[in-house]
Amino acid sequence: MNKEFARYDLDDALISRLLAKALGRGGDYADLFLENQVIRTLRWEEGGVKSAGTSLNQGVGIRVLAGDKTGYAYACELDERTLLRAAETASHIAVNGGGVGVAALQGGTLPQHYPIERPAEEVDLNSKVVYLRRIQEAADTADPGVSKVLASFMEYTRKITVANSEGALYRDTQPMTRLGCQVILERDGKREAGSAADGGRVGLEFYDRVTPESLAQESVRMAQVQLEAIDAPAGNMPVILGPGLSGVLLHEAVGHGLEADFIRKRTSKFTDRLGEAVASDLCTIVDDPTIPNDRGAINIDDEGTPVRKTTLIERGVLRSYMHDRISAAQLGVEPTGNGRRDSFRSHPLPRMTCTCLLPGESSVEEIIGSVKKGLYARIVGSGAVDITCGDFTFNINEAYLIEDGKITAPVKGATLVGNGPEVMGRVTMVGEDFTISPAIWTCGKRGQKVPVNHGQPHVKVSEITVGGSSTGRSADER
Amino acid sequence: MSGKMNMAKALLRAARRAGAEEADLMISGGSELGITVRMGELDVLEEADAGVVVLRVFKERRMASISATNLGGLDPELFAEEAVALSAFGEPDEFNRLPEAELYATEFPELDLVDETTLPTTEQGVEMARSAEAAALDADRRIDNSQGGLFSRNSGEGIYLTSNGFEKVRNYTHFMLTTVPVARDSADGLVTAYWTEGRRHSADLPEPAEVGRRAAERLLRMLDSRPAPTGEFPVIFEGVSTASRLLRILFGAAAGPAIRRRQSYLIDRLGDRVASDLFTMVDDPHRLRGYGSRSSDGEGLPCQRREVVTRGILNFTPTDVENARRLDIPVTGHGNLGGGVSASNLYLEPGELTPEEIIASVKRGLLITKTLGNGNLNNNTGHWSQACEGLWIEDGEIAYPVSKVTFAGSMDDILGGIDAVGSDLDFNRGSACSPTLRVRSLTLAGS
Repeated sequence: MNKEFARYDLDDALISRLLAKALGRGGDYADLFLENQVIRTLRWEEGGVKSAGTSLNQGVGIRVLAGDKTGYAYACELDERTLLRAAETASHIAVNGGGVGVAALQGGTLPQHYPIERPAEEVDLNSKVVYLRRIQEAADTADPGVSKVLASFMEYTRKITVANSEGALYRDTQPMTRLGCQVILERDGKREAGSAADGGRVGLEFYDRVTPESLAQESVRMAQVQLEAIDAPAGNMPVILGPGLSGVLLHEAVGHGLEADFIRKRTSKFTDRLGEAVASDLCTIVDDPTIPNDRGAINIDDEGTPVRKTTLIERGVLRSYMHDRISAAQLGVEPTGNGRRDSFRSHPLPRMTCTCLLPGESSVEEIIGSVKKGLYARIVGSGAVDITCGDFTFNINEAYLIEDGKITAPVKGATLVGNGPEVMGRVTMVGEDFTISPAIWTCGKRGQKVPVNHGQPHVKVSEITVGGSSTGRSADER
Repeated sequence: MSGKMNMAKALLRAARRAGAEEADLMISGGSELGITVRMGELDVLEEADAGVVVLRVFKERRMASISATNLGGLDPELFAEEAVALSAFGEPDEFNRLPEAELYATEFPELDLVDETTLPTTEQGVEMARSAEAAALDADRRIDNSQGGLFSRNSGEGIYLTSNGFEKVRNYTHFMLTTVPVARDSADGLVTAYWTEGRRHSADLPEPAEVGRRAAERLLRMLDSRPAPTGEFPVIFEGVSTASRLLRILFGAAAGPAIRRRQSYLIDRLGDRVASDLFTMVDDPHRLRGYGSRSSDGEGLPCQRREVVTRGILNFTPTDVENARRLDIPVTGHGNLGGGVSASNLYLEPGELTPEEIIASVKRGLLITKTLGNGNLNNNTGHWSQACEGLWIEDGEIAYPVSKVTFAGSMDDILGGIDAVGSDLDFNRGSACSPTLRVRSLTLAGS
């Protein structure tokens, strides 16, 4: 295993020549992004490893900025002729001629946000097959009604080199692993699924703590709860969001709208609102790429800007957007290190890393006890947002009724819908139990997928629309 | 033969030498041009030629796959050895093998999927994006911003080769023109909408101004939206936007992988009613210039036009070879390369009512024109809860736009409750196309 079957890396002199070529027709700035990502996957199905896979994703992206315009080209081959042609293609965006030169490249050192003891790529695949077998056994043991178990292990190592015409040169190696499980549980002619996964920029030591057994048991538990679930209510009501996973609220309700490409184009609901209240004063929200081993952590962004924790909202007041180079230059601020891309095929966009709502002062008992009739969302799933009008939605996959301050019957999956600033303004309690979500989140924007994460404590939203199917009203006549 | 075909054959030989008993291989590649114009100015110009090679090997009924993007720098021996070494980690499984050679397609209808002209040029593409955007911006003074006009041109080639004798080169082109205007409503809130057109041949694209006009029309009707009432109401799924989702969900639930994994609400429903008798759903891989057209499926099997559902009755399980073998059912020519199932051009047979007549038939209900996100679909029960927006209907007329609405119900209730099918089938909406559909009653949540 681990044979190098592909060339990786370009020498600094060639990088300089490519940047010079990219600026050959003018332009204000050029950068180069070299990526070599090796992904390995094991898929477990029907009681065994169904298939093993390796993917090599390697190439170079070259970008030229000329005023507000972007020229972009990429290539998968690393020979000089192909790369010079890509640089030439990207250069066509500039028409003014002349322009800036290329500064001497100077390597920079980076912080290390992903310290690892046992890198997955250095450990034989057999030990990961064992994880999958342990999932199958634990699921079978947990409930005799388990009829299917799907499991998977994924690991990748993404080596990137970012260099630009201002002389910055950074190299980073970004690891990622993920262990996931899905079960089907059948009982009395009814069938439900449950699933769980975790990982991050972690080595195999992580799975000593989050064990295959714990993921299998959680999946079975979820399916068991669903078998008992009654119809979810429909309409507006108080909703309490559990800790961790439900941070997807932040991602959809405010996060995307604060990505500054939408701000510079004035197409986000949050345009021109710095210094204004955009959430209740219980909300302090940060984007933090520095949390060790987090799925959203990075040491450097994908356009060579050092990363930092950014306070987006402080006690409800909007303090900062998330910037890439272009939006920062247009809006006259420093880039925040949020310029990310899914691969060398794409130019960077402002993206989130790990978005967190900082803890408040309420205890969980207080929060739940405060609701007479409402919903408790324990496990939530994917969401979406219309950044322009601010409407967002996300799924609730495991939820319970709250009646007279107590969690009662489980309800079927549903979806929530609301408007970002409106719903954030209705955050009336924030728990003290801050929790980072399991590492399951991938954010899609303009077709580009990047790993992200989020975290939050228990949160009470005083009113939001719940898309259940139980209204208690009769059908209208048509 | 092209250099890529030589490369493909060399890789297959290398796989056999490395110990694979069977193997298949895809080399795909092509060129892409992406243009974004914003507020009349060129914003982004992206161009690239790229490809990927995917090799799958079978050894002692174990399977592994390997892919790489750097075709030129690839050492066939190392690549094949890596794949065969990986296969050792798999479990032997009698279903891990290629289709039998006699299953492969031998006739390949010509589907006209390649535009041989080199038009439009980059400059013309910029002009088309600019014109589409300008038409939307000029439509109404409330439209004062834009997320851009976008033009893209993709052309590609896929070579598929198997160790038991199948060989096919597939070529395609695809052009898209989109614009995304932004308007301000009377409360100074921002609203956006889009319209997009895609074609295999650039000459088939409508005039850019028409793309802008439709985007503006869809945007203007959504200004000043209100909440919808909560309760049970008749619902209309708009043909050009939201109705096709029902077809995709039904197809996915009926298909081999979902049935075999027991992740479907349609297990043991073959020959049963799965929709109202107004519902006849066709999969037609042989439409000329079709978005999802193919002369053979991803595994090399023949495919043909078939009714998946006839007047509400589910006819067969669309499947790939592996799931057909596991479920002991006939193959249908719906396999993907490397596993899984997909429809080609999925569409619903149109009815006779115009969308206007369907709207006029509803006393009080919702016309759904957009869904937000994928919603919460339970594959096992078919229960679906989905955020959406649309137009509220009072006494058979559009009354006002509504947003932040959810609908919820089971797929059986939704499809079984279809009581009107429109005549407005537009085959240019992508690989699944549906006319407008009316559903008797669904639960809505809003105010």
